[in-house]
Amino acid sequence: MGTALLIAIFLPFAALVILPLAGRVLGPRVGWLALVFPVISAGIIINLALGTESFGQQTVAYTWVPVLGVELSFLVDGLSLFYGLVVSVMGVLITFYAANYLDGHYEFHGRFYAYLMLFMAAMLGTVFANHLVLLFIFWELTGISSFLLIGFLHGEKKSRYGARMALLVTGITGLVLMAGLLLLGIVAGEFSMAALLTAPPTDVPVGLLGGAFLLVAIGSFGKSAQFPFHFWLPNAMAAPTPVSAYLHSATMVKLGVFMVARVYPIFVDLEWWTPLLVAIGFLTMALAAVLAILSHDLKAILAYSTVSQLGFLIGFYGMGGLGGTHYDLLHVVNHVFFKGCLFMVVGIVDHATHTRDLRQLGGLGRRMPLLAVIALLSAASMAGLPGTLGFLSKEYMLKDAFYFAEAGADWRAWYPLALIVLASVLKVAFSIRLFWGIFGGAASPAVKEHFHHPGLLIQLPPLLLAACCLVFGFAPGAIAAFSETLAVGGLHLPGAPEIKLWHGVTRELITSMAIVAAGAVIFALGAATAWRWARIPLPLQFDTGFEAGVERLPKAALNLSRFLRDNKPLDYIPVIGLFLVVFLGGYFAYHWERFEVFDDFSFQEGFHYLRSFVVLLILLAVIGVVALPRWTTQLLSISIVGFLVTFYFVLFRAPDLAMTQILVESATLLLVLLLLSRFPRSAELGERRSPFSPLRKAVNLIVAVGIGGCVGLFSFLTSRQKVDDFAGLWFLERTVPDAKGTNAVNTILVDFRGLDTLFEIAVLVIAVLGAIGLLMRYRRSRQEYAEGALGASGFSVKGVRRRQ
Amino acid sequence: MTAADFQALLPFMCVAAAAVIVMLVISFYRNQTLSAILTLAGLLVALASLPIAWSHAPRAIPPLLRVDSFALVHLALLLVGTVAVTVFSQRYLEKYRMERGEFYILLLLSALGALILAAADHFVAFFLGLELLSVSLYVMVGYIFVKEKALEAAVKYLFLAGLTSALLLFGLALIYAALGSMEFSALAAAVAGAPDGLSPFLVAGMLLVFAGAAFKLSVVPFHLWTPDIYQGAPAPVTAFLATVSKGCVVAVLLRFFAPLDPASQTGLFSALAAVAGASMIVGNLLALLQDNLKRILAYSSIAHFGYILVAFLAGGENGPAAATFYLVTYFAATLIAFGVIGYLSPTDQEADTVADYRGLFWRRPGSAALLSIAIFSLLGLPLTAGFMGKFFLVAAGAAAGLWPLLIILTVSATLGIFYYLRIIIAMYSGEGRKSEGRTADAPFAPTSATVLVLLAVLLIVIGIAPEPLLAFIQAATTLAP
Repeated sequence: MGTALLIAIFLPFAALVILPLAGRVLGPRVGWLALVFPVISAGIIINLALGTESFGQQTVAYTWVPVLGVELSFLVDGLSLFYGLVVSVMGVLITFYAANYLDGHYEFHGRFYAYLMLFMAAMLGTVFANHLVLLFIFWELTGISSFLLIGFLHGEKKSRYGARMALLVTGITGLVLMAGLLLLGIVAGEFSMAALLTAPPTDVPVGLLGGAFLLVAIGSFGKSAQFPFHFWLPNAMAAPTPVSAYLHSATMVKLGVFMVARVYPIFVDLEWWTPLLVAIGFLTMALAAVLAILSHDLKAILAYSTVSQLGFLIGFYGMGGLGGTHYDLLHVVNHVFFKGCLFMVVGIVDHATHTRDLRQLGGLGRRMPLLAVIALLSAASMAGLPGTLGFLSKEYMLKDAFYFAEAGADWRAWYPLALIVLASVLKVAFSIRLFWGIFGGAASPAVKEHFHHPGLLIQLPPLLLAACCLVFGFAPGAIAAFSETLAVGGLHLPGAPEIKLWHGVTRELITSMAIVAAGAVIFALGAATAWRWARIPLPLQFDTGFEAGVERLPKAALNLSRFLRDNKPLDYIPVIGLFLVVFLGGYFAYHWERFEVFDDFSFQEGFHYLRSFVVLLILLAVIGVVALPRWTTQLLSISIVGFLVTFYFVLFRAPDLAMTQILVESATLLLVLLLLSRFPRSAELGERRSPFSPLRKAVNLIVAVGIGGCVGLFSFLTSRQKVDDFAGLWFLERTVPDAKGTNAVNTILVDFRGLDTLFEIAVLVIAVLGAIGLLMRYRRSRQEYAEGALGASGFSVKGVRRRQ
Repeated sequence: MTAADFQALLPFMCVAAAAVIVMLVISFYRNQTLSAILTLAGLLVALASLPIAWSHAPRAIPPLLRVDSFALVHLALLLVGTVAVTVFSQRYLEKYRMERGEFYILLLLSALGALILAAADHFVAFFLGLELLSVSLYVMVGYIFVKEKALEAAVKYLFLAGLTSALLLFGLALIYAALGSMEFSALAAAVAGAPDGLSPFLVAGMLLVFAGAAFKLSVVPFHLWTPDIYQGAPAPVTAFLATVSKGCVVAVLLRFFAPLDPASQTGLFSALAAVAGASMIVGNLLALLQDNLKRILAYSSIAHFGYILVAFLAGGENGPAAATFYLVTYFAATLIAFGVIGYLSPTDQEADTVADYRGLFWRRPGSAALLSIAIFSLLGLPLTAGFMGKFFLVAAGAAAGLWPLLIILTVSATLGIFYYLRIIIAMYSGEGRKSEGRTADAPFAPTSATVLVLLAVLLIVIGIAPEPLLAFIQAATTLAP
């Protein structure tokens, strides 16, 4: 089983290499080659599903990164098999459809199918993943491949925006999901989904588990386009229609629903499970239905109706907290059938007429009778008319909602039912509108102008799906058996009630009929007013708001950057200084008693007239550096400081230090004078046009005094530390016994540090050789010679003139 | 010193010898390519000598250096980084007609400083290494002196690096005053001997040492130089600045702070945590504003080192390993990015605005693919090395219970999607094959192409099968406290 599953998941990755190459040769026909991959995957998964038993659970594990405890492990149970079947079988149909859809008008067919296969592999990986980290990796991979697919027609601005929005929303919520999964794994001490499902963590802090659930829920809401993330899905419709049919109705957007079902046994006992999922799910269901009826673009209507259905599914699992779940697979499979079919129909209509605007369509029924029948069946299933799978789905939907309402404590328990009814009424209305708008009435001018006949092959996949809506609608036993086989422990209860077509005249049936009637009335009203009022009001245009937010983010960053004095070179040093004063000064202020500042300190003991006088002079010179106007005088003041320090060293009887200091002082003074004298006059005057403001001067003063104070303070304090272990003492002690010499300096040079001396000499030799290298110019060219000493030759750069 | 000591020091001596040889050869025969070849040879011999040194590890070369498996792993990383920079530099300098070999002396000396830092076990080695690294870098940043931006960058870098070197020195002096010794081991002894609290001078000194190191790592508030210098410096030098000169500082910091227990040093470590958090936020937020690829990478590097500080703060068993592993992934991705930028830059001006890269995929699919892989890894997308690096980092942080920092990490890292995506979108947008951006047309030199492709393959391989490298690094980088 393990190998077969690995082939099913990882073989499509091979398409990434094969298809783009094959695409160059085959062109649009590469689609038929691509069909091989989903067929193989579907075959394997069907085979696995046939071999599975109810409530069975198997894992396949391979080591991957044992250091981090990450395994390549897959979980095969009813739920993963169900979604695996949906993904791979729809993959076959969609690839078949796309092979007919993407004709010579499109470019880069190979890449398109490669992305599609990448997506399919990622989806299969996500649904089968057992290790939480693996799950996240595949989850994000679906987001990336969907980004590539949505943005496939990257020439169009709409595609780029849609792709970006989808990636941002699903990518960011995906990271939230990762945080949730990691938290779950850490809290439970277990990263294997199978183990978590069989033994849900019990004795863990509820707060942490609740936090994990909240994060996982946000991740799922993002992927399944739930409120408030619902806006990305309609914008993702810029993708080519096969992509919309596959990703944005049948598979990827169901991942959130899948995730909720997957973690159901782990989190269902949490207090927050039902309120959160029910509130968000049904709100999304109703809101999206409203938005769907206000839209005119075929794909927008379908997108919003998808969001609506996903909302129902999320809410459905939320309600499940009361009585366990039955027939969730019925709802999912129903949606896969009719929505996938409708998307394909819309793609064919778009292809045939070059428009997707309902206001410009009409009268296609006589031109495409087969397509009209297909659309009729699937739209009927969407509306939930008797005889279709949708009818059954709606029956059980209402049944659960009634049950939930009755079992609930107060009026809030009626919330799902009310919203379901509202959404269903609207759904009936836009189902009729969708069908009638395309196929009914007289042919519109746009249709007359552009219409060309679609091929028969392209109509096969939707026909198949539509037939499924009808067949299973009349033979619900097959679905029941299917659900029974794929039941999962913890999520489903054994012994589901039988699905029947006819229950007698029940309240569900009456409600259902009333919904259809009400929907028809709304359609009639809309048709009578030609849908002129249908327009999404600004407060509901979340996508516009999101884009504005994305555009505004840089502005916030700009303010931050101003605050941080970024890109203001003059402020770099003050900023660093300020932080330093705050850190060091703060540390001292906080711990000042530990520094023992005033312990056995006497002012008289350390006092010395001459030294104090020198210090005073140094201070005066420092003030001179700050206060004097010209750079020459400032420079002189600085060197006065330096020479006074030399004198200070002398007073401490450190002639070697004084020697070094005086050499360094003289050399730097001369060098700086030499350099500055060669600077242009503008540099002498300074580049700054305006003097510092008083505030700025004050800040500079505070920073300067602060740094000086800190350094001075710490130097003073350290100088009072008693260190009794000088390195020098060791050499003095050992010079006679070890080196047999009485002059410690000599013995250090030739005995204790003999190798160092050797290397020092070597360094000197090398330095001399280096100097030779510097002095020995390579021979100048005639041109360089002509340029003279001030020209480029001075830098020995060929052909580059100095800028004037 | 014994023969074994010399063998353990072989990698250092190879690089030092290469610097001397290049200098001597230049005295007699100036040729950029020859210098580059000699440099490359020296670096490769140094790399080849690592197994010899490994056989003698762990070995303390008293009192300055300590060659152990931790040092050797970092040495390997730094040497590989320098090799890549050498390869990139050769063509770049040719393009600017800087056909002189001195650049490579500086590069080798700078690399030597980095190597010394990675193995430093003493304040003197710490400071010498850092100065050797920095002083050579001042010149390298301004090496293309015909470009005013480069000169400006060099001056800025000189001023700020000088200032922070002084801080570092002052910090070392304070620690010396507190400990009476300049060996790192004395710090461990002091920590072990004073369970109730360290000398305040020691802590203040550590703070200053960290400030000096933080400048090199360009974390907030010492990050201000980063974008200007990244932008102004020649692309290969920026690559060196972004990788080698930061990686070695991470190594020395890890070793330096290893004896400290975060739980008992709450004051010091909360200051470091504040730095880490601020770096992640500021780096990622300010990167949003940039239109210049080099500046975007500069700000994102601020954030990346904020991430690495999380591993650093996590400490324990996995902290050093996580930081080292992250460095590996960051090195590879950053080297690719700057390597490609250097190659695509026409002579008159660097190709570094995002607009320059519009439609790059249609003009130069290979470069665009390389850059994409690098950016995906920096972003931390699954199946690239960057993801594994971040994951290991988060795992180490979670084990240490650094929840606030991890939340900041996750949230601020998502901002990366915005600015990295802009580059990707720019590269793949454009109307068909029409050339829009302004990039050089010269094909890649075979050496550079090899290095770039190898690095890209490394990113993917680590992303898919991180286990061998991860296990190796984890085994090699345990720092005994």
